[in-house]
Amino acid sequence: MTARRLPEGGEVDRSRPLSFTFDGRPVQGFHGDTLASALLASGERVLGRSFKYRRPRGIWGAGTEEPNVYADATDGPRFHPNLRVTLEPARDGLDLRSANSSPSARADRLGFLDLFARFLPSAFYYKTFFWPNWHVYEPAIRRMAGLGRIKPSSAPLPDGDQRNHHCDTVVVGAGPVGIAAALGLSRSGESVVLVDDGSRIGGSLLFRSARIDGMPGANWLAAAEADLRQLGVTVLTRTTAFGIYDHGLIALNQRRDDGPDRLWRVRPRRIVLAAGAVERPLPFAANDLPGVMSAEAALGYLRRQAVLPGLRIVVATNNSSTDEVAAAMTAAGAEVTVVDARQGRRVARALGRRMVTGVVLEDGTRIPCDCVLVSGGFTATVHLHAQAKGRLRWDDARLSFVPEAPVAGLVTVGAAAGHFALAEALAALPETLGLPDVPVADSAPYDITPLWPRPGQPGRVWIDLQHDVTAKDVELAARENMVSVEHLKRYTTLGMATDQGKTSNLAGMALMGALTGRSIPEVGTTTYRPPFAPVPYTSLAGPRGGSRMNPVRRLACEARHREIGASLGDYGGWLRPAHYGSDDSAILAEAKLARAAVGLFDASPLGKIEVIGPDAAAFLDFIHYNTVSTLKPGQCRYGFILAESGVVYDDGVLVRLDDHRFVVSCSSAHVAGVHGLLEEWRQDRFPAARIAIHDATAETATLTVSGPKARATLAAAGIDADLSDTAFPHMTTRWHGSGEAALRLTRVSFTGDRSYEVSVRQDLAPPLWDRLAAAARAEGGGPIGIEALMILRAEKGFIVIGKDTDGMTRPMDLGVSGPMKAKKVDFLGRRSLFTDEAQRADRNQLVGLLPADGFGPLPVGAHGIDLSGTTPRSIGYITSSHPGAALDHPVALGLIERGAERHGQEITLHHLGQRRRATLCPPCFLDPKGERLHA
Amino acid sequence: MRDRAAFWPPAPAPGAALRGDGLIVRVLPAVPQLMVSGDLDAFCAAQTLSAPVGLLGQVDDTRYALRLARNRMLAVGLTADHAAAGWRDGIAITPMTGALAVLHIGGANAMELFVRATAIDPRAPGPSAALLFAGQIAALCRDPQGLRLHIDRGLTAFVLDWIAATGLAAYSE
Repeated sequence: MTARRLPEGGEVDRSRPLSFTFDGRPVQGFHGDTLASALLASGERVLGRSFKYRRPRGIWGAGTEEPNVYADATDGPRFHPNLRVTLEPARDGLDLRSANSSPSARADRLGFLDLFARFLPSAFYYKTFFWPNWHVYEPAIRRMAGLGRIKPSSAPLPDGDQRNHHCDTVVVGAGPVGIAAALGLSRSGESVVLVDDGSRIGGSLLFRSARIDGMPGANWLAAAEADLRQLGVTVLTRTTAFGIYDHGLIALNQRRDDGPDRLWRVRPRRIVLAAGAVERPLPFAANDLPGVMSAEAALGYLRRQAVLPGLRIVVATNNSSTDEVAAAMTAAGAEVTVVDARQGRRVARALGRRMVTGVVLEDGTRIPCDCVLVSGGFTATVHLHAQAKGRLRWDDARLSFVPEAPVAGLVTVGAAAGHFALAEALAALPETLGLPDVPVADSAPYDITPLWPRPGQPGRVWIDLQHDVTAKDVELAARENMVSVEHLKRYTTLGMATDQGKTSNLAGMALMGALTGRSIPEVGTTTYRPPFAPVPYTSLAGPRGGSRMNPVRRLACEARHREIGASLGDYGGWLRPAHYGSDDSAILAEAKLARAAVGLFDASPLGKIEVIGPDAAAFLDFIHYNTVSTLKPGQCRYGFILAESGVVYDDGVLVRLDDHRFVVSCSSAHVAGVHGLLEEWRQDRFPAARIAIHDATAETATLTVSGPKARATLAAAGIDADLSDTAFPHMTTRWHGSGEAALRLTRVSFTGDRSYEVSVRQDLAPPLWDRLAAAARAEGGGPIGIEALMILRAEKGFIVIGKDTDGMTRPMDLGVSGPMKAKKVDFLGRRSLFTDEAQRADRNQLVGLLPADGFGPLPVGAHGIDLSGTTPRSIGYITSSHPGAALDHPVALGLIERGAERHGQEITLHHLGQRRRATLCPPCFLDPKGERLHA
Repeated sequence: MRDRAAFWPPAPAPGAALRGDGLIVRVLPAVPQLMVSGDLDAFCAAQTLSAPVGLLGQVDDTRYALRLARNRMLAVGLTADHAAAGWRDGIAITPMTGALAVLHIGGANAMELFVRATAIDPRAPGPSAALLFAGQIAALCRDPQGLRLHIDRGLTAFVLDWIAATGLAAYSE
């Protein structure tokens, strides 16, 4: 292949040269070049290596269908893996490396693999690498497989850009038919987006001669471009429509010169698919050699970038589209030989080792050449139609699957509908789109004769260029009864590469059909799924990368926490202080501080869902396991909410503010779930006019003051309420002050010590934090993080739902059976509590565990084991474990089989291959009488 | 324990603003708001409040209402003591001043930000002012100077960071 740049012609700007490197060698080009055209023009022959056999490969196509050549690009500090060279404009200074070779495509050190090709047929790895097991070989195979390499040291790519758009019609494909459709629809008053993955609109008009409305195609295109601008049609070039999703959403990926890729999520009323067609290769031996390329692509390179692909060219074809190709190559100075299957002449094999040097015809004729331009016909680009669940039918005259009928909201036109001749395609527009006035073209009819791979064809005939699937692989699949098209795909990997078989699938189906006595439509197609072409992850992620992927809520006092060195963590969707200071030893120190004096804890995320209305009490009686309606205004009660299965869904303190107003104080991480559950049951069983549910969690920040000095701390902070036990007993709530800075004080405790929750409007919390923190320090205490709180609550045996319970835990397993037996009214989950499963005597029950072997804290997750049988049997596990703060020994909680009746027994624990011993005990380790609540 | 303080950029200070070409995003000082459920017409009449508007509805005053559902709205510019809120004559009221921050999105490119942040068709926005903005539940209306976004105060940092990540605006002093 001795490709060269012609001295004149094409779209390239010869006054603006550029240069980049490919595998370390300099490449010259011009503005207007794609990377592929510049590489071709520079004489580079071997530009890639095949996936499996590492065969040398050159450029095949000129668009998304390119199967052979991908490159990793370093552009300044940034690295782009798997750049598609046929779609990317050439850029100055780029450092390109062929994607599947090492150290270079020209001299790949794994090129020897092709010598062993006969031992590496399809699925060889399934049959070869099973002793001793696949995982021994997997790392090396995975290193060899795949395309491109991530370069962790490179600068991160900028965030992708995303936007939503609404319009009447999206036209996919800006060839002459797409343009005509966009113009017609826009003139009829529709808002239209016209999309094309090329750098310019025009499609085949950019390189094929045509006459439209009596004028040369180029002139018609120029006028059409002006009309599109005038009509306000949104034209997106370098944009690939890669997927159709529910409700007519069409996803577009736009490659931009001045920024990262942009993902367009467009919701049009209608999609017009004018995506054209992809040219197929011809089946002959060694049809993968560099220098064998698509005739259509070669014509594009010649006419657009003035690159003549060879000096002695064989045009091998089975259809009429190559007539213009041969004429154009001849006019450009090449010596052209046409081998046309319609005239009974076929290529049997290509000659050459690293590039094509000639062909041998089936009649034995040898033709020396440096380039073979092939056309095996066209495959209509029906991907989006099929993604939208459109059916396909086989067109015997055109030798392509085409849409059987439009699907709702999607119409296919032009070559994508099988109209491979321009005149025919434009003539179909009025009926298809209801357009009264469309352009008229003169063009020769499309003529083709079948030329598919045949069983037993001599030599290595490539079907899928990118994944190295040959005709023999398809024959092997048939012999092994992988005759379903889906099995064929998975067994051979036909069509599974990044090009998704755009050039190969039909040939594979045809051969499988011939091998099994079926027609192509009887073999059928595999399922079409998005994306049509590879889309960068940055585009799909958009601005939601990094910390924005799963955002946490921020506390109003976050700045205060940071100022005093909080170590922050993600807890239930909030960014919260784990402890203060970078050293984990602070956790126990904070817990001891709170036990000895006072701890100040930011409990703002605690759920605060208001249930308001005359039926609120009855509603909450149904929702809660415990009875709620007997609460007096100003009182609080701890209780459970169950799921319908009777499993404990959440726990928390319920506060009655007045006769018709309750606050469901659910777990921080369960707010959304509990809110949804409340709404669901309210809508199911209760009238909307008598109950309203408002999630007011974010309205107030809650600062908890806990410890023997809690009361003194509140007083020192200037909260001059009567905090005596008679005026303000445990499990009550009251308002303090009025206006926007009013406080709600609630006496509840999650530590076992005297505690006050102080709630204030969220935006006013920081000054309150300052006052409480200063007062706490003055009383010998200070801020504590959530990890210290975990120690304090574990010492008291207070559970955390989802940590100390699991998807099997009923309230009786936690020692709370009263409501099940005594509650008069129906409640959520009630029936499930009386099932045999719920009443099993050997259920796992909440217990405390103390180390009985003299070692430190018991490991969380350790399983209790029963060793009485022949093999150890799990009898439950440890859910929480902490060192003691007020106690001189570690404590643990667990769910252990029959735990409630086994207090005092020793059990064996198993964890990560080690055994421990523990004594079961009641879960409350500290102050079982609750005297510290009033200390 | 793994300290995630560095992973999550500090929340911007109250009053933070983003500026870009034709875009200014400001966090407004606390805006009085009430969540109201029940007989909305009666509430509006009693408070001399205009009928609640839907998404992108035009409000011309600092007192307005955003419809969130058939029987629920956000009344803006009205206050109620926390202690005195609750059930009143068939209407449930909960203060939301602390819960919801209000971001003002002004400038010629305000709608450019809108199409980045939400999939809703601005030509047919619907009767509810609630939407997903940058993936988060929020409510949105227009005022004479731009858009007003009511969003969970705890997510303000994320939304500002997300807007900055779109490249349409950057933090300004």
